[in-house]
Amino acid sequence: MAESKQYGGDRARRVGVLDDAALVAALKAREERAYALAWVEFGPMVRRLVSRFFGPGAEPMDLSQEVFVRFFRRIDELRSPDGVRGFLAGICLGVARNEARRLRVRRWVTLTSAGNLPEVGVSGGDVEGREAVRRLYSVLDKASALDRSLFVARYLEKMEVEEVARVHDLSFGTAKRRLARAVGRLNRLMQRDEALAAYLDLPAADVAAPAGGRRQVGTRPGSHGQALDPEDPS
Amino acid sequence: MSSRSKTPGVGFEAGRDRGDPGERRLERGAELILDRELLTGPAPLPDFARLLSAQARRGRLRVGAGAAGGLAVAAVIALVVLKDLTPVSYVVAGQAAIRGARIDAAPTGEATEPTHVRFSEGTDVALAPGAELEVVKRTGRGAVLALEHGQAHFSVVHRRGARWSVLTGPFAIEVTGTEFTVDWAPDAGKMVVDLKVGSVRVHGASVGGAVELNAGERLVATVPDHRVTLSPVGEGEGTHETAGKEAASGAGAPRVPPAASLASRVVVDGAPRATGEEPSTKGALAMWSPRQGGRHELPEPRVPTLGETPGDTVARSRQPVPEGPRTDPAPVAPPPTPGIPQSLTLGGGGLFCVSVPAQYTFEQPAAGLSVPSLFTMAFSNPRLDRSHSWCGESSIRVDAVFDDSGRQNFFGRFPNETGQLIVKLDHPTDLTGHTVTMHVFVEGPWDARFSAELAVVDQGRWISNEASRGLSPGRWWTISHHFTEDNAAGIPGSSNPYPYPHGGRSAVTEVDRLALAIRTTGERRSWKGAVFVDDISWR
Repeated sequence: MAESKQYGGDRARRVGVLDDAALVAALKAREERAYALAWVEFGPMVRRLVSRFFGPGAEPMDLSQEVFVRFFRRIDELRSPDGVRGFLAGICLGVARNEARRLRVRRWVTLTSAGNLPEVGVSGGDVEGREAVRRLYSVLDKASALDRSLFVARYLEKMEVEEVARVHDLSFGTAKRRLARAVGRLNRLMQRDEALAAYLDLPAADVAAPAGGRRQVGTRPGSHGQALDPEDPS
Repeated sequence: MSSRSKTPGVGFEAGRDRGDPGERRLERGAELILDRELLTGPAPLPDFARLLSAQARRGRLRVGAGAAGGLAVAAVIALVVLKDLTPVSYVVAGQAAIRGARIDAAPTGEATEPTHVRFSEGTDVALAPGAELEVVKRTGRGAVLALEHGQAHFSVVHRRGARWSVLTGPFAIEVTGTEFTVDWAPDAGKMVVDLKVGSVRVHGASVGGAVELNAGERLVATVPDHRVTLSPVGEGEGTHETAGKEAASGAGAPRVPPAASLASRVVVDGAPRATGEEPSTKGALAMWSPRQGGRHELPEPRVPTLGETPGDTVARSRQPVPEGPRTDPAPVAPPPTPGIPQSLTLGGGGLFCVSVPAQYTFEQPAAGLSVPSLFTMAFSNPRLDRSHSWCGESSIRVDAVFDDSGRQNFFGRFPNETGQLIVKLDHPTDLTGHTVTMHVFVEGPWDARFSAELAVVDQGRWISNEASRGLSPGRWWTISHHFTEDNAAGIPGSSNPYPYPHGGRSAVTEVDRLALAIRTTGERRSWKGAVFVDDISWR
């Protein structure tokens, strides 16, 4: 852990010293300091991806470690250092998909305590927005791991279709077709939750920014939107 | 939308331009998530060196476990294979003289109980007093046994891939799992096989191509006169002399109840003439023996030359029986034919022609012969033919073309899979208590196999025997069936079960037609040939 302290504190100096190419070269040379550098450099991206995949409240640390261990073991498969982030994102989404499938199996055999998503860790009084996010992840939870992964890559990570194809190890055409199918399937799942569908279909004007710079979502009495009741089990 | 959100790229612009509500909804959902996303804070650095080494250890453990599992599977497979490779062993129980692999059961008087040869996989051979058995070869799947003389009862345990064979003189019996008794008298050249359970195939000598025995059937083969008779156990000729000896039949062995086919009999006569796998024959005397390198010379000539025996003259000039309908007049004075009659050179009835006169001899053009033009269409052009005969100078010939072309008929058969020759009787005849016999010779490729079925038609109702299966071309076959007051009809596999497609029973008091059906049954489905039918009788 001495090395962790050595490389973990000074981000500015580290980024200045090692660019992606040098970092990849060091990782291929199995230099232990490169592990720490990669963790610091790419860790936020990986933890964000994991969090977005599983939703707020999920604990991304364990999976992040797993992602990095795989990344280090497979670093020799990386052909160009320029693609290191996409390569790592692909590994991360792959690990996340596997974990989603494993969770689903565990839920089928009732190995989890309740099978419910953890409470959404959103601060403030944005009760409806928090409920909408909870329901949205509930919908994603019912989708296949690949559809969920495509949604995360395309809509949350804002990847281009080429990037989506690359991180999912698909051809461009296949990725496009699967994205289109995922959109259809996710929409069908969302339509089963009428309140969520109505909430998401609200005009942008009806959605206020949340306190603290983020948008606040509100439902006006008598509006065409449907109030999201946290007690509503649907 | 937050500043980090950029417009999703190619592939969706068109959808957005059209205002695709589904995609818009997903984008809204994404914005909802991103707007309420908590920033990820710093995270402690894991000990990757330890994690990597731990995973490598787990990988090695997995490889080790996989290798161990593979080894275990290989060991199990090896055990199974070795078990197959290890020859069966045997012990001899009872009074016997053992010289090498030969087991001589004590003769009658010395022995009080049968001598048992018990094999390690459970097969048991009970030798009657005086019988001699040689264990010729042992393998992991079975053994080759030679019954030198006497009677033996075989109880072969059925196992997957089991291969047992019993050699008796020029005959070979293939066994998979069954119970049967073999009585072999080398001096008389006579073998009797009584099959109790399962099925066996008998090759060799006059049997020629394999003949399949089913439960409850007896095969009697005699080398001197080339005769092989297939009949129900306990009926007709060929009851072997020692069949009643309980010693070898196994105490408490269950008797097989007579099956529906027990009233039928197939007699095979004549030396094999099929070419191909069997060695070529030298005249009518060379016989194929699986044990003696493929040849077996008969001790004495079978076919008497013309004029040497009175039987031959009688055979050609015998008078048909006066009873029963006739389609051909009795030959008054058969024209002298130069050379040897076909009935002798092709292995015909011989002395049978004298002792078993027929109602239909087909020595003259006969009326009332036909072949169906529907359902069973393999036969065509019935006519008198002088190239083959069971007795006398001629027989009825039909051309046969077998194949699986066309659509399956009402009974699930292809039209050319089966051929029928129908003989219309002059007037309705009561066949109750009679045994109807026909003689058939099929000319075709050596590897063709067929079944033969004898049927009578009583007021439109077809009553037939159970088809004799596994017959081969090149020799005369005698098909017979005994009819009683109440006969099984619509037997499964019948060429025409009408009007009993699901079985039934019928009398045979007013029979107006007789029929012979030949169906191709072997691996070879398409073949052409000819079928000769001679001497139809009932008595």
